[in-house]
Amino acid sequence: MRDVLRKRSGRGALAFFMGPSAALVVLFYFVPVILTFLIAFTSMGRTLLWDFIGLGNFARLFGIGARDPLVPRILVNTVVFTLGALPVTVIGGLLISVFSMRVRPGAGLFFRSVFFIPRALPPVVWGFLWAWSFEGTRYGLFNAIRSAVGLPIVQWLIRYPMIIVVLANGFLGISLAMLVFSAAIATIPRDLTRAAEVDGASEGQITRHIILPLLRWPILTMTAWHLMSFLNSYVYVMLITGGGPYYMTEVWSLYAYHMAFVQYRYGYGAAFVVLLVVVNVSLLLLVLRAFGMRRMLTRGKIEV
Amino acid sequence: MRVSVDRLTKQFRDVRAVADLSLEIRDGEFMALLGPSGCGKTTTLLTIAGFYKPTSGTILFDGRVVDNVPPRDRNIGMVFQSYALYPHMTAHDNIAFPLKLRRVPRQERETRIKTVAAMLGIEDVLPRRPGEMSGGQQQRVALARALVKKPGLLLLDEPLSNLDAKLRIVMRAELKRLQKDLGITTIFVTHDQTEAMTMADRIAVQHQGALQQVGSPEDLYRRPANLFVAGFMGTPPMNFLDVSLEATGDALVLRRESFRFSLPDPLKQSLGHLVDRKLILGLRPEDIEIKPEEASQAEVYVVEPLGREALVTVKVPGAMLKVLAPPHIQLQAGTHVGWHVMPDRIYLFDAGTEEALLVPGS
Repeated sequence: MRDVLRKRSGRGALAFFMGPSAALVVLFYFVPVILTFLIAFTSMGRTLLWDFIGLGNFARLFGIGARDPLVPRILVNTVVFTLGALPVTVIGGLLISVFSMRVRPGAGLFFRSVFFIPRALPPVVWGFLWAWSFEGTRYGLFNAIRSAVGLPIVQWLIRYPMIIVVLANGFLGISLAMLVFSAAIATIPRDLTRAAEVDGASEGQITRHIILPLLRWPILTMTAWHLMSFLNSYVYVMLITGGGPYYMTEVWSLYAYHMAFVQYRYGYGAAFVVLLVVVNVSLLLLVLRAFGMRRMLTRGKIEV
Repeated sequence: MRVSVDRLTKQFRDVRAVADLSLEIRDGEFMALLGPSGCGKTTTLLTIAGFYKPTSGTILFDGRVVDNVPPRDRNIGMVFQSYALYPHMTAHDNIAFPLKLRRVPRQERETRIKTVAAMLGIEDVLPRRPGEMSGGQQQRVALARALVKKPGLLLLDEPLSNLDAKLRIVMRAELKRLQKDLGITTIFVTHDQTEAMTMADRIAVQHQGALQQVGSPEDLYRRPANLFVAGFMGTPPMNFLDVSLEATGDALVLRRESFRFSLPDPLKQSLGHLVDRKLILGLRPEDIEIKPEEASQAEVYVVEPLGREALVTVKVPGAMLKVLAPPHIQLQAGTHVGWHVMPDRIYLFDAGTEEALLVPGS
């Protein structure tokens, strides 16, 4: 009976249930990607005219012929930003997880809640929280504290812009990393750490020789995840420094955004995005290759 | 090492896992903590290991109070029910781990690993990880890891329960022999009375957090202190019948419906004061004799041949009796048979306090 139903209504049911979401994905995901790819080969500007100019945008981007003097700086910024935020997230997440799960289990919930707050906030709030804290006038949080104790105010966002955006993104990443690491630590059987304790290991040695090796998979996963996330991130940079002062924190995707939606150079901006998509896909393939997709997507990351 | 548990109580919120436990474990002794799950035996073991702090009472190693000594400084070796081998290390590295932490020089370390591996017959599996070993091999590696540091005390938490039945019998004998050869004080937690009986020098039976009795396997089997120990020790377990003791004329009779059992003369003297009390009669399956040629109200319910003997379940008014009969006995389910008890083999318990009032040979 069920087989009959399945046969008769198979295609119709598939179309009925999958159709709407498939249409949405195609309309809002595939179509824009294809459009972006096409636009990257035009000189499209404010007038929205499709003037195909071949590889002109890419030539400019790579500094062949008329070069864009900002590209090397943006490339360096992107690398510094990504490689700076990554250890903040992974190491910070590990420290908090190990501390809250092992050293002070009682205080753990409090700690994890505090570090989870950024994830619960709307991005704009999180961004402005940082912008306001490091505001260069005496109304900013840290300057208010400084002037209260008689210290001169500091132009934080001008003197340390990169450190601030790296920390803002890194701290946001901690919330997810910490959640994943804490869950992984919770699945380590208590007998294992007890055995290590009987064997003579101190809390630090248990962490180093037992906990961390068993967290290998979650650590690799979170590193790969956040590597891609930071590479594509621009929201918090835009909210906190806007890429400034003078392109000092301008990262790749923010530059693409500025080109397309501030300077209305759609074609040139699209070329940056296309390149980023290529980098993303290559990185993704690399990660999946290194980890083995099947292993990554199946259960049992903690081999016990 | 001599271990003294002195009036140990361990309370978890509203659960009293161990209540007022006092126990002396002699140097070189093999002591089993025996009881059903939830009886507090594992809590006792983990408290001796130092993972739990006593709520009250103390634990002494060789007369020295160790309540504030962390597990790593107690010089103990421990084998967990799950073996708890480090999954990311080979067998060799698992065994080396405690030695590395103690900064034993490399050469001595390798020698000691080799010795303990040879002793346990696991030289072949040293390069393998736990995931690539059988349960029996994992258990030997766990034992090697516990022994390689030459601990003063060996703690075993249900070490045999994850092995298959055949291997369990092999390991039982090997563990016992190993313990005797090394002369290492060993405390062994188990819920399996056969394991405790076969391996331990002495057994401490725990029930609902309270110590019931401590003694040699023979002691517990022949002279149980109460109903719980009597019912726990021995397979198949002892049969219990609610009876009352009545004086009819000159005789003392244990009575239960149509069943009557006249106490022999020597017992009459000692049990005279129990007349009209509610008692529980305990009969070991091997102490009951079935007489197929007689007829009574007892009916054969089922016969289970075990090869060496046959386990017969007999239905008597209001109860089922397990009887171990000779293997050649010809019995059909449903037939009525007679049954007899050797008068010097009976146990009697107080129905209220469950204390033993009479055990054979007393």
